[in-house]
Amino acid sequence: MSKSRCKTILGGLAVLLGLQAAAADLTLKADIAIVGAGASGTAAALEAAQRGAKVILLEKQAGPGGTGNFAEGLFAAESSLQQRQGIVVTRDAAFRMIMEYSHWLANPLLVRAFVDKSPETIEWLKAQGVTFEYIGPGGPGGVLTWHVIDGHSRKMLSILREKYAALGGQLLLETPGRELITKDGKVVGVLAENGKGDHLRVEARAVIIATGGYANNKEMLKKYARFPEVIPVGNIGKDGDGIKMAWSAGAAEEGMGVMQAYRPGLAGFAPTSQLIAAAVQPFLWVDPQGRRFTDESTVILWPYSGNRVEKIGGTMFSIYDEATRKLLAEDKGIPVPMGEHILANTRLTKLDADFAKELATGRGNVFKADTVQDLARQLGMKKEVLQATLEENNRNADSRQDPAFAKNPNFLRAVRTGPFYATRLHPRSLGTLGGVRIDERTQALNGRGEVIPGLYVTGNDAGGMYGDSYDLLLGGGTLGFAVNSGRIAAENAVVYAAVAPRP
Amino acid sequence: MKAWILFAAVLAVPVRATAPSPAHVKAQVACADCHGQAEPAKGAPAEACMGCHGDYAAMAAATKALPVNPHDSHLGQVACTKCHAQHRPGKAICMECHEFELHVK
Repeated sequence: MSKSRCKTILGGLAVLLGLQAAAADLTLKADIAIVGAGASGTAAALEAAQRGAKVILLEKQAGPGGTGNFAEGLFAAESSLQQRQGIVVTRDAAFRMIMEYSHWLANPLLVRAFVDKSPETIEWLKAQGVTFEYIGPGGPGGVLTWHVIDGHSRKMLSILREKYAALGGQLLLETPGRELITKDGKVVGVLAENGKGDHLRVEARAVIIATGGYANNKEMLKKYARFPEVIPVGNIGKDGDGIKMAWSAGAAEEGMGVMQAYRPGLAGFAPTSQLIAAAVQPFLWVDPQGRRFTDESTVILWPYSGNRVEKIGGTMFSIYDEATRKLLAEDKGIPVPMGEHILANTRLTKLDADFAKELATGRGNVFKADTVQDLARQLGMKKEVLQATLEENNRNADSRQDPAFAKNPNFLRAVRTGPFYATRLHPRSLGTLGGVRIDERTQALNGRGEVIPGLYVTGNDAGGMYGDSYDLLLGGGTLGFAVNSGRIAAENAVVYAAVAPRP
Repeated sequence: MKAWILFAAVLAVPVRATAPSPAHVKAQVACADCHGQAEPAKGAPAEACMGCHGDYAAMAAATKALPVNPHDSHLGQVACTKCHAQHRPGKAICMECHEFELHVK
């Protein structure tokens, strides 16, 4: 055995025994430590800093913002902007809608705190220099609560970060929080590790957890999600870090398994994909046997269509014909927008190229056939079943009636003129929406409902805003809860930490 | 004693040095050049990559002609080894959400 090989073995043993050269150990002190610099953590950081706290904000990724970089607008009721436009959405009405949508499974005190805070948060954002483009609905025709930000949430977060930095706030990138430090039943800091392998001990009077859920943690999805293979969109490194840390410190579970179900789609296709935009138009969707399984216009309030695709086992096909391809790509464009990513009436000029490229891969995401018989063969469906579905769909389109699912007749379109196109789609999610039980001050609670002193949990790490499904009735709910819960946490944490206000 | 050595060798497998990429072999890059130690105990820091390949700005300039520029992305200045690897195949972390035609060197 060579000397070098021998040294390798000894080196390996040393590593196994934890004898390797210790990385630097650093101790930092703060009034408030915040784990996660997404929408929730960033709002909390600025709010706490403005109230005089010394804040250390930890972020796992190399860039800040997390999934908070990808939202367009946030919820508010009775905001000054709504009032100026004559939009009447009272806080009472919003509260009741959220509670009823959740079948009163949501935590009413938390929902109330969120809704009541929301108009003041719009004023706070305005005061930081955030401007708004318009107020829209969750889905076309819905209640106008979605305060769409100029430059979207990415711009909002960069403004909040600038303000935070100007107040001397620290942001440590590539430094995930790993474990809470507890003393006498209180949370008094967090252990972290940075990209260089240094171990950080952040001693703080309070810790705010804002790590954005567990959308990328396959084990947790397997354990908690109704459809564990759900495709995450806009999430990276969401391993449930904050949730697991809080649980380890004694916090109780709440709302695990609720996904922020998105329009069905395919892995690897971003929300801007024209291939998906065409396929999720509410025309004709079938299950793997070739039967309709939903009112396709549930895609307008997409948690509903997500739920339906989950229920049929997670695979559906959207089928349209040459006439519809022409309508979408060359004529009127799409009737149903993809949020702010692809607006209504946009012609899908890249659809043909995208479809052809995907078809050429031959991996079974898209199909093209000249006859219904060939389409059925390619999709592995019985020809008679698919034929019957198409005939019924075409009768519905002609008579402007949908006896089975009562779909809005505007979305009944015949599938009659070849070639025929099919796209396979699966459930996707924009994140997870539960984790830790909190009270209306965002304080973490244990299984007996007692507060864990010094621990606050916000945004997508917190449970209590939902029943079994993501609520899109009131647009901007997720970003709205992130920002509002972050601010609520900061306000309460500075009081708990007895921070002296800024002079 | 021999059995003990064999046992130790099995234990040591996870950290046993494997050859780096052909390009690094050709350039005669030694373990210590990247890891800072001849018997590496942990991954290479980004500074080691940047010493030869240039910093993020240089890499962004070098790859700006690609359909998307992986070194100028919304993910920020990600640690090089998140995408580029020497002792296993690399994979662009962009692909966790996107379908780009990117070949990780």
